[in-house]
Amino acid sequence: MTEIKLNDFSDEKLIIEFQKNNNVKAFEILVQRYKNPLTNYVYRFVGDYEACVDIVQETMVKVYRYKDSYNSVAKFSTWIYTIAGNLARTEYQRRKKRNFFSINSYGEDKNETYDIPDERYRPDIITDSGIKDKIIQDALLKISRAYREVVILRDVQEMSYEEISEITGLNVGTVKSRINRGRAQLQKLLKNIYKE
Amino acid sequence: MVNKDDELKYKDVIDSLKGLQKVNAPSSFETDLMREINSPGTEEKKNFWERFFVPSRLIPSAALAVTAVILLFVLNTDGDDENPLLVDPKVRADIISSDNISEVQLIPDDDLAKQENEGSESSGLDKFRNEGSNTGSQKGNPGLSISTVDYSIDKKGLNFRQVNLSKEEKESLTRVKNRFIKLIESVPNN
Repeated sequence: MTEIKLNDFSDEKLIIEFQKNNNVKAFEILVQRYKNPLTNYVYRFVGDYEACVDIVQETMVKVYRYKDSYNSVAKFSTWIYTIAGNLARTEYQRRKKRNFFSINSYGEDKNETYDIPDERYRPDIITDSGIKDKIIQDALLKISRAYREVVILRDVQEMSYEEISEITGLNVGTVKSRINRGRAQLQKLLKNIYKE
Repeated sequence: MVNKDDELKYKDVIDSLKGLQKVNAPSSFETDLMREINSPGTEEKKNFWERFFVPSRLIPSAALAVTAVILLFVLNTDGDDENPLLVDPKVRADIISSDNISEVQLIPDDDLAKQENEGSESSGLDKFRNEGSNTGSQKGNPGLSISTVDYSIDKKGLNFRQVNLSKEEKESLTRVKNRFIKLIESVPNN
């Protein structure tokens, strides 16, 4: 099977090709298609570029190793976003615990939460519009995790409510209400930049 | 309709999020990924049960378990132990000796009342013990003497708890007995 022909395949056909014939080329095409959207999604969720790249790598490794667990009834995008989302959530919890212990152990005010600046990846340095991006990203990280996930999937990744429902395992009504609550929280946090 | 209203309400937020700069994977992503996939250290991990139930581990442990069970049956055929349900329970050590009291004498109501009123140093029990010893069981208060010889309790074969009574308790018990007998006597015989 030629590469040109594989490039025309849908995601579902590619993963089935990889499942049945162990065609690594099909897997590589899937990696090419999903590495950037997944990186964007995970970065917006976790807020740390290196951690985000690790998570996306791990997602791809899981797709490679557990290809047989893909059920052809589901969309491939739903499956891979679910894997990435689960890994991102785990990483987020891990970092949250680590930050909690490392900061609160100094005996500071226990009720106060802290935002740890990540200096390793700075989109604000790269572009002029980066400052606004940074403010929005910080605001995203401040809203609750449950709202953030669905808001990113809807407004950053531009997915449908049904797709988000499948990825998160929530019903569509819950997805919609969480998105609106997340947006409301964001609007409150970003009110200063909208006044300008 | 509701969705469109919501999207209009949060238009600024939605536009801001859509306008965020796209974050891309590093250029070495595929190379690093294939290196990780092909590295021998990161082979597909089996879960605990999959690793546990491999024949190389399962067969020796199953053989050991079977051997242990067989040994248990072979070595434990004596059956020397008595069945605890069939063994008679042990009788507690006797404390009261019924031999000490050979007979109980009954004192008429009037005499007993007199004795109590007198408040003499010796107790009522001592008194009629003395009487009994002086007059003998047949002489003292004829008609009120009850021989207990026939009714003495044989401690062999007893299977109930026996209590060690102090001297005072014995006296009070005797007093109660006497009162009980007085009560019986006070009932007119038909």
